[in-house]
Amino acid sequence: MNCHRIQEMLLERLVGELPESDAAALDAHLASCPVCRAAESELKPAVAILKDVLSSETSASPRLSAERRSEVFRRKQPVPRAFLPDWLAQQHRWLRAAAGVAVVAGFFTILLRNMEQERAPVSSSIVETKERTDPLSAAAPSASEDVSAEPAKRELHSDTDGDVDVRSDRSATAHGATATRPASGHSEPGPAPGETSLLEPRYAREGMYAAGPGPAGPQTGGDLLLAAPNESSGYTAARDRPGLHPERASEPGTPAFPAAPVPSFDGPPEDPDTELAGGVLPAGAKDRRATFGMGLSTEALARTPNKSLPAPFGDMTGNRTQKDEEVHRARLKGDGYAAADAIDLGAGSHETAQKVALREDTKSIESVEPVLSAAAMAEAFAPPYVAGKLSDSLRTVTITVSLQSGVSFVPRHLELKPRAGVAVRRIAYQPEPATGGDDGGTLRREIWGGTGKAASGSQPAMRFELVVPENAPPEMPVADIVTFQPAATGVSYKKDVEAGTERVLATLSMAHVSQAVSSLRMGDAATLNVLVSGDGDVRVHLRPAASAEEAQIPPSEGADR
Amino acid sequence: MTSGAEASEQQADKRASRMEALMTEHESALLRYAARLVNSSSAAQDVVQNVFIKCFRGGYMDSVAPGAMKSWLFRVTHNEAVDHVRREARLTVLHEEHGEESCHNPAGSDPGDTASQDERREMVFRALARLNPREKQVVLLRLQEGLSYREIADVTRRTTGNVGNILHHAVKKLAKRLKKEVGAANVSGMT
Repeated sequence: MNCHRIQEMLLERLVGELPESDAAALDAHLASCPVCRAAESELKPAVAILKDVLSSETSASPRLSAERRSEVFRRKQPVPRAFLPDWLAQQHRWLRAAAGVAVVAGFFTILLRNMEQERAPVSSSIVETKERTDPLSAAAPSASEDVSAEPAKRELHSDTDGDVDVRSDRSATAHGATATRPASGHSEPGPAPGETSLLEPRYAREGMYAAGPGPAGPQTGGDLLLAAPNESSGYTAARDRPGLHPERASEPGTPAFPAAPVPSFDGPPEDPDTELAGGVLPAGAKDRRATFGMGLSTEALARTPNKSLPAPFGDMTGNRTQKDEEVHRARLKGDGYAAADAIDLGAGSHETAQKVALREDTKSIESVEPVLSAAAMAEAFAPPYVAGKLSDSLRTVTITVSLQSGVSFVPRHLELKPRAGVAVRRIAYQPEPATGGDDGGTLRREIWGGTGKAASGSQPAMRFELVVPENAPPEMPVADIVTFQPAATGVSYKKDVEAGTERVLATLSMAHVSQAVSSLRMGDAATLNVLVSGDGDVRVHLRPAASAEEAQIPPSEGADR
Repeated sequence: MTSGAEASEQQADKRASRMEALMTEHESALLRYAARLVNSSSAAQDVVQNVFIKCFRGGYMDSVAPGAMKSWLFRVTHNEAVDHVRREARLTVLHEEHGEESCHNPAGSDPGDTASQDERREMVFRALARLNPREKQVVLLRLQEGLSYREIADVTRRTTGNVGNILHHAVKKLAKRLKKEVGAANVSGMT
């Protein structure tokens, strides 16, 4: 036992901690060790005075003051957490962000529904067999009937702030009018009755887009609303086709396609399936009812090496694993995507996704560089991948991309390349004169969610108005969609950002767009709903724009479908 | 009022009564202890109030075992006091500077004379103030509050051997300081 331990034992005895059994050993050591005895002589008086002073402190019994005592028992006042409930406010940041997004999305839903109600539906939808029996379709508002009974000229005025002004005007101008309306403001988890899902394999493989029970999933992307002019020279709009007419749809025994009431209309096709086949004009309608469609040329794609096309022609899911890509590609192929084999789901898209993330981080880059150059575009998609057929009186093509939610941190953009001879009337939100068009360049419009009009509460939209020449041949192609990125969900994207794995969930591919719109015909005004699920699945289905169903279906009811 | 609400109310009253008893049992010791740590009785009131608030509102009075409650209270009091000292660092520095000056020139005292009881008390507390918090904690818990090595080990989450070692070093420091202040002879004479 060394002296250090002995001196500790010495202190233990002084403070009363030393066991009796160790006292003898301590005394024995002290008797033989002058150093430890010196230590004892130092410690003993010090401990004595410390004990004397400190123990005397215990004679005083201070009490906690009454005020402080009552404070202990005071009930804790709840801290106001703005409009979020406690259970939500205590969650992770991303969940709170999701709640914020939901609130804003709800605001936009209400806002856009109000906008819907303020505008009378002026255009009807594409012909679909099931839609004729849809009770909702039968309950179409009278506005649609009025329009069909007395065709009026409707012109879209796309002003610089992007507001859509649809009005009726009997004093028709020389230009063909374009009737369109913004996409529905309410979100729907899946295609409504009468809508078309491109993920329905049977319909997709057959090149037709009949109604089907579309897969459920959140609608998070933008809508591509295609509209074409009509009836300035007797053109019959789709709403005049019997299959869409509410009255005729509800009439039992009505022939599938009775003659349209417009004299100049040559008559509807005999077979609705033929009519709906992608990009194919039905017999008897070739002169008056033009088809405006965009379809990927499978021949051109066949010449392109597999997986060589960069995003966003592929699925721009940057962080997908190879297995995910294979599954996704197999799904595309299984659903009858003719161009799926040539769509790159891999490296190129990843690069693009990273670029987007960088822009999000820096907040300094205003535009996304074109993913695919015009030269590469021409190489990859040799004409005619856009099959636009216009009647000789149709001169204005308006392509509108409406965004359902302004809350997203991913830029959405649509890039068009007008064909030769096609002039650009205006591009919404773009103050400077539009470039491109006649010179063969591309038109590009990009929206960052949460900025500009989106932040002010208006519906963000990208709108292109292209004017074709007076003597444009009926089958003149109008424009090629170069890129279209409707963006992913802001919530999921934000969550991934916080996790350090920025990515864009999905990008609508050309396959989605082209096949969907190939069933449209001139005069059809349909909304192309892009559904991006949380796991990056892209689903597209056509929905009749400005149809009665949209105005009638409350959001809750739509969400249940 | 429903029976459920009544039961809840009774539960709350019962809990408050337990807390009252807990406070009555420990508040004096904690206030003394905290007062020595923060060198202020009013600050000690704040410290101990925070401790009891944590104990009551934070639910520790329900989760901490009754046998360990005393150690828990002293441990949290120490942590609260250290936090308080850190917050009041500037004032503490001034206080220590003042204390140092007093050590060099004790008011009304003659280093050669035997110190009175009050003077001894002042000397002891000045010497205590110069210890580091860990040493001061052990000294106060053992020599003022009378906690055993085992209890101190529970409070400080150290071993009893470590507690003994810290106390040994602390007392040696105090002995040197006291000897320096009043002289070894006076200290011996006081005993």
